[in-house]
Amino acid sequence: MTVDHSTNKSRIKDSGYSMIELMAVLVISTIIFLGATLAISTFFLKFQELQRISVLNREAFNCMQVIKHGVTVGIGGKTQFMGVINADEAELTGNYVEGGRTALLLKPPTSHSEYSAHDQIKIFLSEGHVRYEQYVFGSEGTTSRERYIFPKRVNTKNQIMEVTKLVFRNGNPTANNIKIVKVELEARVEISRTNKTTRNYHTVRYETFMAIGKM
Amino acid sequence: MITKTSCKDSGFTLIELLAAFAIVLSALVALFVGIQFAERQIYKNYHNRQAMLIASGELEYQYYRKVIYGNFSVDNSGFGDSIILDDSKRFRVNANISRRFQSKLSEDNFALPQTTVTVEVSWREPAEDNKTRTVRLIEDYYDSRP
Repeated sequence: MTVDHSTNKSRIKDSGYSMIELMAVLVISTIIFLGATLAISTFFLKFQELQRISVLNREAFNCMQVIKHGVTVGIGGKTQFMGVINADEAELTGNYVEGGRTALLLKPPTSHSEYSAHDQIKIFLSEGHVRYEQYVFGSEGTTSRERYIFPKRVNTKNQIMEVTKLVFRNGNPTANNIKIVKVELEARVEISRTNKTTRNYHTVRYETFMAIGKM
Repeated sequence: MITKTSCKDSGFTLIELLAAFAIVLSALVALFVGIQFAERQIYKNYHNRQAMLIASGELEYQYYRKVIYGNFSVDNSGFGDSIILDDSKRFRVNANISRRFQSKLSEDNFALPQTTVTVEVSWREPAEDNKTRTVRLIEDYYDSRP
């Protein structure tokens, strides 16, 4: 059977997209896609940044409250809070910085039947963390337990939050006995990295007075 | 035999495409408005927390004054009359601190001498169109027990 191609060809409609149309569609699609990607990635970066700042604000504030009201110390059902407001004595120790010290030693009420004579808690700054050591109910407790108040201990590589300043001062410099303590806390969180070495931080600063329990 | 007459020449009209773009654009704008709002809220919370700590610190200082020196003091305060709440690159916020002392007898059966100490920390909040915000903490102190 023979086919007359010339007859059929004349009946086919010469339709479709031209190269110019295809190129235009490609260019417009690419621009829209890039724009949307940029906008959404910016959104997620900003969201992450705000989330980190929010956590820093909250955790730094909580740290100040813990220093004031106390950390939970003791073992099993025999636990207490030990902090500035329920201490009998306070002593500034640690390194000197900006007219203050980086550590605060607190002694609980000696009249309290559960505490032994040498019980104490030390709150201090160490390698970007607010930490504490305890000697309570005549024991240091389990030494393997890491005692971090703020920020929580994580893998060093993933440590994005750090305390840059913790200063304890005598609230009344003219008095010898410390009855009121001024606490200043400065902490920062990494919010972005420009490159491998340059990091951008957001910093918060809190300060307040805390009167010790026994005047 | 090949024919194209059965193919419908359809697609999106320009109006439909514009409508789709407008919807996507408004969604993106909404995202960024949300982010802006969240950012302002975070800064407001930070200033509130800082003011709260300063006000509570001032109350602690007045308590200390009362116990050690026997009286409250407007002049001898912990923070003075003003303090910087925020000195970041983005905002610089100054706050004013005020104290009020009101002495009276307690309203219970004991009628104890009582002093109500009010500490106010006020500032203009840049994250809220410079509206004045105030944190006010009040505490009662009793001089003695019967």
